[in-house]
Amino acid sequence: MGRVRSFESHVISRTTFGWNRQVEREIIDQGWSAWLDAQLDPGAITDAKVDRLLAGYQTLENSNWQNYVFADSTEDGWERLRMERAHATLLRAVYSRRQLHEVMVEFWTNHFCINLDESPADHMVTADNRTVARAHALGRFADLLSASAHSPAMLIYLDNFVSNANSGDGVNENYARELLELHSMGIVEGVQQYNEADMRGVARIMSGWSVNTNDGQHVFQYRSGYHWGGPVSILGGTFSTPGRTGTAGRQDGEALLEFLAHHDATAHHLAYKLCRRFVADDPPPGLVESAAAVYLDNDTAIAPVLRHILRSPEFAASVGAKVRRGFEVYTAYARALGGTIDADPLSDVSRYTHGYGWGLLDRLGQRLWGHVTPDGYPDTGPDWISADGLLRRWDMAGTATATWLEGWSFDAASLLQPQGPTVDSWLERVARRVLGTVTGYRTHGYGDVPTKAEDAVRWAKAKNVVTGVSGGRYRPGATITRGELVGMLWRTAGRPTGHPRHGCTDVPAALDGAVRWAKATGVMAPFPNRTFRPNAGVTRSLFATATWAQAGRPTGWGGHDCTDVPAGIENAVRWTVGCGWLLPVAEHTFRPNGALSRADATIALFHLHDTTATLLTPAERAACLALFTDVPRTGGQTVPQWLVDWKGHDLLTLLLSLPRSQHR
Amino acid sequence: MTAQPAHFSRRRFLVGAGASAAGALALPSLFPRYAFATPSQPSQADALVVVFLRGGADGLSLVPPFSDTTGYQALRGAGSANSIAVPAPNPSNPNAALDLGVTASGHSFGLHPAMTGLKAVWDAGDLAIVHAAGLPASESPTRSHFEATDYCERGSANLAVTDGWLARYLEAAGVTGGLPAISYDNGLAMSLRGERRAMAMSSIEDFTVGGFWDGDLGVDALSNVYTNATGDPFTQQGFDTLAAVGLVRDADPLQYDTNGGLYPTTGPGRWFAQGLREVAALLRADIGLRVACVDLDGWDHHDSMGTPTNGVTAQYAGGLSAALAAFRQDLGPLMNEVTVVTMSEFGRTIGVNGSGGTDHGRGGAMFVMGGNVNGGLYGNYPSGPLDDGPEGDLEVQNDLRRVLAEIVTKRGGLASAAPVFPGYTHAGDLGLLS
Repeated sequence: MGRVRSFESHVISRTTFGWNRQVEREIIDQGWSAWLDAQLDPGAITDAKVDRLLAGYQTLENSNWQNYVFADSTEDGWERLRMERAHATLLRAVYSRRQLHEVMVEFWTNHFCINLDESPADHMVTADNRTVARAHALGRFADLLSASAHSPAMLIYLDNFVSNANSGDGVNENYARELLELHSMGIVEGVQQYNEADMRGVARIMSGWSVNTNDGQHVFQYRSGYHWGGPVSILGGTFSTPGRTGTAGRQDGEALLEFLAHHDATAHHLAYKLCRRFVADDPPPGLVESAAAVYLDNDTAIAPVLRHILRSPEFAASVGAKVRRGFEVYTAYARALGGTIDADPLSDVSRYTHGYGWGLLDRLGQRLWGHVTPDGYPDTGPDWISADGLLRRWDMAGTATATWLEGWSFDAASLLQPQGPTVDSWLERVARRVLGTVTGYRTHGYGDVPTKAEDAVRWAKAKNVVTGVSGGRYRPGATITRGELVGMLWRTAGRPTGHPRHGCTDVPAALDGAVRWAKATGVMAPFPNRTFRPNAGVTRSLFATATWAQAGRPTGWGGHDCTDVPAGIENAVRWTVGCGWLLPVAEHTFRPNGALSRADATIALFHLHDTTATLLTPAERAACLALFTDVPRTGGQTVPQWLVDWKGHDLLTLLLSLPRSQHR
Repeated sequence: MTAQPAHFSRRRFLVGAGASAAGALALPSLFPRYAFATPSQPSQADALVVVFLRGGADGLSLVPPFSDTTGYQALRGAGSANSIAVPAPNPSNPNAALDLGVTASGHSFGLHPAMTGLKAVWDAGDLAIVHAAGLPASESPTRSHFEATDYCERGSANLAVTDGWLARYLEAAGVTGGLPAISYDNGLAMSLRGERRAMAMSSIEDFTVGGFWDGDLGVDALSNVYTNATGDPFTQQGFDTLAAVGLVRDADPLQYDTNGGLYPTTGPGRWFAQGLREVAALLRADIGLRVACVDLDGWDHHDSMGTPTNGVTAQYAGGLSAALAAFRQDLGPLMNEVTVVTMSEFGRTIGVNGSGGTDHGRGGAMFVMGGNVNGGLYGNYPSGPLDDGPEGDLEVQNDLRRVLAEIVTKRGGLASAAPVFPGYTHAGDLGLLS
């Protein structure tokens, strides 16, 4: 029971593309350990929303040649091909339930970075991503490395397709160098375990790994005529080839890739990068070492390495130590706001997001497939902390919280709903809805709770404020009874005892203390004929007066525009509308005699009472209040709708711009 | 530093160029400690503009040692379909090198034919060239772009040196007021890492806090959480950024035109050109800029470098040259207080590879441009024929730090370059600068 501990927030911030309400509920309900295990087995997680969003996409599953034909023969074909690739990646990052899988797809896409922006081979990137990073994100690294080495897009990007050992000018070293330096053995903190001669040996071994660029093909092709025919020995003789010719020469490269995947240096390099991604910019050396051992012990399987890292004390100790990169800023904003991104790859929002040179991701420094050099986007804080970087993040927050971008929408009214008696408490409430770091209670177990009441019922159950009816049902639509309400109010008040007898004849023993308290404090009065009528329904009028009385009958609240409020409950309605606990049902209509459902009563009480924890730091609160310095009497004043309309956008922008929103 | 020639002071130049008297008078009171150049204290230090040619620029294409007798033409595939050789100077051949009229160790040098802009700077005596430059292989044997770039920008191959050479320069120079350094990019250049007042800027227009409906209140709000008191580098950067944004906004650098400088607007040099154009505007706006880093990316030409007049090398060389020439025109007399230097992480192999490109090599060419430059070719160059041996490239003959050390002492106001380049012993000035 109780609030999410910071560890769950930490797990969410590192293993997903940002907090949102859904992942918070999943991790609370399953427990972080079981949730993590489930995330490491993404095939068992259904992802219906993503499936639905991508249902109309035409190029994601195509071969290179199919995509070439598509791009060349379809109106806007080239643009659609590129945009489907980028937009699908974005939609999956924001909406997939397989969050850790998507995080690892991004990790490997960046590890095997390709940029073919102005190349005629650009259409090959789609299949590369599907068959390399996406196919093996949590599988064996040996398979990943092999898939990349056979990928036409990679062989073209790093020039290996033209590397011809038998031409007068010799092999092209580009791919071999990056295969060693970036893809496998690496250079970690200046330590390099191979030399130039080894690199040239690798270039010879890999010569002939090429691409068939004929019509109908665009596939991997081993060109034996390009292959170096002599024997090669590298890395101090630990790997050598006999000098095969003909089609058998391809075996040299296949064996080399398997050898490299299992090399100590590769294990260390990958463990270092994974720890840098998931733990800290300067990864703890002990953890790197143990993660490398796990990698080798598991035949290069990636999931066990992640499990090891994410369950380590070093991981637990690294809260808030990483700075979000540009793409993570975008996804985190979108997820925190709970918004909807138009899935059409040629929609305004898609173009505005992925545009080359001016799109939002480019401006955040991380356009998808936009990193020109093969080392991929950097992964340490100093690479992302710059004046321009911050300005773009703040800009992006203002764009995300606005409504002008067609194809992007979010429920601002719900996030900004003016609940809480004062501006101070409203800020706290909005901050929790957007930043989400401490809200949330474990699941209630009822099967019939609507989304709007989910958090409230979790709170009510966790706090033992109310219980269900029977058979695992909450009966949210049923009118709340006087007996239920008096019990709930008494429990939110802390079950005070010691009040005089109530004198009613129809009160069950369980409610005795509650009714004594209600009568003594005037929160809910019995009827004159010594009855309390615990089974009678509660009207909106009664709820307003009871909660108002419990709050100490505050006066001086701003007006409401309802024309159906009797004078006797005027102050109570002013307070409840002003605070937002219970709002008018329609224009000018409070409907005092209307019945109140169990769900609505629970929501109102949740908003009224769940204000104990403070999320915002004093400096953050001061920052928020600085937005209101041109409003007379802020802080303690009520929050009318005009204030929400006037300040809501900038408040959300500020919350997304806080330093805490830029870390993960 | 005793016999300083008379220079235009920046402020005098500004007033002379018609900047508003109010603006010119207001600035000193804003930055009282800004000891750049005043009439009573003539130019203590130039602004340094550091151009990094990322990817490994081919010095043998930019400054070809064109003589056939040294093997250049043959190694570059002259006469073959893969040729990337720049022919010897010939007025009737548009592919031919622009003759610099200098020799070293038996080699004759020219400029790439696309570099007519820099040729004019050379002819005016404001361009110095150091060939076969880089970090010596004894210290930096790597041919990795990322490692070599990192070493160049930190000014050391020693990983214990964690900040950038320009950050150490600014610290040693004791620069205080204004906006001392910018990196014209999304992120801060490694060479400026460690100097928190250095700002990354993707454009002057975008150097603004733009997310809020009420921008002034938004800045006030951010100032509550982005303070200089938390010790968190991210938060500190926000604080410094808010201050710099206000400074640039008040100075309004985009009010200055380009003084007839024709910056290229197409081709691979266009963003680089825009960067130089905005650096010129910031220099004219007189807000204390001492260092600007501007990159020209994309020199990793492993294949299809093309002929001298048609191909990727021609586009890059032409873009570099045209932008630098426009920058010089733009600044006019202010160029007497500015020194520009170009560098790259390494040069490329001498021989053309099977794909009509070149692979990672060692020595490359550096350009130094400015009003105080003694035009000419400097430094050592290997004697005898080019050797396409096992390593197949131009060995580094001139430590790039030798060039930079001369700049930071002769034009940067330092008495010694030792604090800037720890572990490096200066071999003496080449005489590039007066």
